[in-house]
Amino acid sequence: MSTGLRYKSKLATPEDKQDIDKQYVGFATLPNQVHRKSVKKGFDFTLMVAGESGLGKSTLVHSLFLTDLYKDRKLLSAEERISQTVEILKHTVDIEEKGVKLKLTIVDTPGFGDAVNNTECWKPITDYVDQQFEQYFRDESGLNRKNIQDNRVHCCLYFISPFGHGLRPVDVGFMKALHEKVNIVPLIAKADCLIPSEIRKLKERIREEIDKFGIHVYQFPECDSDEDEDFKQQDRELKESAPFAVIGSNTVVEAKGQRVRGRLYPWGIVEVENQAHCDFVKLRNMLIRTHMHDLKDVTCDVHYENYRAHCIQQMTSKLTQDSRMESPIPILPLPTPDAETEKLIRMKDEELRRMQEMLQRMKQQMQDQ
Amino acid sequence: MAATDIARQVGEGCRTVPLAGHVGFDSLPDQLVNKSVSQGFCFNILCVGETGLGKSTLMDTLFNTKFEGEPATHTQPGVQLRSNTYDLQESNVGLKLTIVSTVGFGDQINKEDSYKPIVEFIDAQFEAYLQEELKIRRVLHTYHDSRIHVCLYFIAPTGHSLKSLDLVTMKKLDSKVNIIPIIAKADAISKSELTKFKIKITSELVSNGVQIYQFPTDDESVAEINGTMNAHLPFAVIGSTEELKIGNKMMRARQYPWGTVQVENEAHCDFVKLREMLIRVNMEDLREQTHTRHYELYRRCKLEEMGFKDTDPDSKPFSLQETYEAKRNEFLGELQKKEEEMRQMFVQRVKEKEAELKEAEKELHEKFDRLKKLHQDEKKKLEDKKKSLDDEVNAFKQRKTAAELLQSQGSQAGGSQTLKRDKEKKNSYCFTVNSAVCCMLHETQGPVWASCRNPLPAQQSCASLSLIPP
Repeated sequence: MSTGLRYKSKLATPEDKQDIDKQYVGFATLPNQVHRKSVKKGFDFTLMVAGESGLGKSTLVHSLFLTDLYKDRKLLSAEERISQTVEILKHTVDIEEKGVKLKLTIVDTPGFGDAVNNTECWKPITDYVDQQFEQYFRDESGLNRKNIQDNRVHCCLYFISPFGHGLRPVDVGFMKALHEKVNIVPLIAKADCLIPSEIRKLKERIREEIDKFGIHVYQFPECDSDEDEDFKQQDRELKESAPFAVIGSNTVVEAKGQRVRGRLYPWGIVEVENQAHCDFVKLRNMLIRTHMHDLKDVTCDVHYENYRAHCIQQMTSKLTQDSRMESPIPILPLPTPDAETEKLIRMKDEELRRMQEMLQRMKQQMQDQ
Repeated sequence: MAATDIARQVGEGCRTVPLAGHVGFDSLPDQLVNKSVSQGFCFNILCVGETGLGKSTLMDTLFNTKFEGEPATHTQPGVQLRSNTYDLQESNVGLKLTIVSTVGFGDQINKEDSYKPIVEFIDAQFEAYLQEELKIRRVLHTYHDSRIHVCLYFIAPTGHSLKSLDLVTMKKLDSKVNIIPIIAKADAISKSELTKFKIKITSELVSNGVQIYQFPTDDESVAEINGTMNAHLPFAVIGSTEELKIGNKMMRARQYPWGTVQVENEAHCDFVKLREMLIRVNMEDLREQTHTRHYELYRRCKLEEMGFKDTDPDSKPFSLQETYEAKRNEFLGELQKKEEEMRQMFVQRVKEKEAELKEAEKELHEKFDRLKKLHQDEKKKLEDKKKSLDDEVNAFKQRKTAAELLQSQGSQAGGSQTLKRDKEKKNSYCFTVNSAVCCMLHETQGPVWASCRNPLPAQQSCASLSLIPP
């Protein structure tokens, strides 16, 4: 079994504390305090998986978190899927490892891209993400803020089909609708049908198309300059392998005398955790072991703040239009004005103006005569 | 040279006779074969499937050549069909192969109309053949048959079931063409998943009433192999044009880090089965099915639309020629009727227009007459007035001369007593003069003058005349 990336913790070790230097104040133990508190509090993480049916989303989630969330899932037949709508399903599990508790929520989107007519099939998903933001905004602006539940989506794994030549229109549509709201991590699903040269070509193609269409996927943060070479090398490799080509499996097979997670084919055994076979390990390390907190931070600092600023701007513009007075601070979240009624009002205003102009012209004509 | 008994199932009125020697008509099939070989064969394949599923690669692998063409992008706005014809030669048999492939199938966001271009293409090929068949001078034996003989439908290896688009499209195509469903890129599915997937697909096709092509089991020589192959549908295929050295042979394969997939290894995929069935065993049957079943169905529907029937209402068989003549006469009759109608309409319109114009003319005349009359009335009035004015002027002149005469008479006699009275008379005379000038007649002044015999002092009257302002 290949060793995963061992996360370099910056905790103070006992040796440091034994500094007899008189100038030792002691705040070097702050990281330890943070560590203790956070272990006590526990963590939460919301992950969304999106992509067409049959690309291995549930299998991958199973392989990542080593739990089966989809026990009694009913798959629809082709006939039922002709006019299917997209649903949003949430599965929440509490998992614990070495005393650290994690409340993991997986948001599933069955039905995405399955119907014959898929126009705006990502709308339910964008509505859901916005709803979570709105809920958090209300809670944050409320009076009692003790127990705010953070249901905001921290990361979205988008599965790209390996059978095509790159991104399809529905992929582009989805990513463009969500890239400013959620951290998108694109993945190439079922990568065991592509030979290494094909994987390389497909990754390049997808990277090009992502640039071409102006999609902002999740960017890995730059590592600090004082990290050692090993870490920097790994970080570089990580960045170069995006989008990750993954394979998932919920079965354990026997290979070379060892029991591994993999898929059994007549021509060989694919090991999920073998770095030479696929990028599953890289994805797992990135998602769970190194960048989970960064994903949460980007969601809070960037996407949520954008949403909040946008919301407040809309509200203030409506207030100043209506009452022409200073808006009270803090602004309580009012129901945002309906875009449709605003449009209607504007239309009516224009009509009135036009009719007035016509009346004036007619008056003038009568005067001339 | 022994007596050959040939037992056959024959209709009534026909008896079997044993032959006394070798006649030689057993070479008939060979003659047929020789003729068809010299003519050459023709086969048309339609590949339907999403972009990137390996349609072109599979064709290359099947026929062991590199056909031209570039992979398509995902940004096609609609489904199109790309057709290429190739001439292949193997031993002494020539094959004119046409490969038609869909471009952009399954890429659009709204795929409701994706099947339409495909159905239209197939119908167009049937139509072309029908037109050729109905011609008066036809050359069927050298006609290049472009009807689609087989449709390979590529299913994406999701492992769950058919996609909704696949189901909709296959339902539309099953009555027009022989469909052979294929699971493409089968190296993404492991063996256990594959059996489940195949079962799911066949059950879905059956439950939705989709008719796929069944290999024929009525011919004894191939019944057995066809029977077993029918159970393996849909075939899970892998295509590859790269050759790798395996063992000590060059084979077509795909090299993975965990193993090598050999295309022609029956344990790895069903490619060999597909090739057997499609090319080596059933190619001729596919052509026959297309001609006898699908094409005949199309032809029947088309001709029924046009109004041809096989039997009269009195159930006497019609001949096509009679029907055709009848149709033709009907058509010409209709044409004539239409022409008549149009002509009548035209005539009517012209009449209407004429009537309108006439009315307008009449109105104008009336108006003109009225105006003229008015004009004349006015003129008469004016003349009357002028005449009356002249009369007045004349009357005035007379009075003037009369007054002058009287004055000259009156200057001889004296008389100031009558001065006052004269002044009065003068005033009344002045008034009279004024009124005459102003066209106001005072007829009564006349007799006053006539009764007045008193002489007026001439100078006074003259002076008064001149001094009195009008």
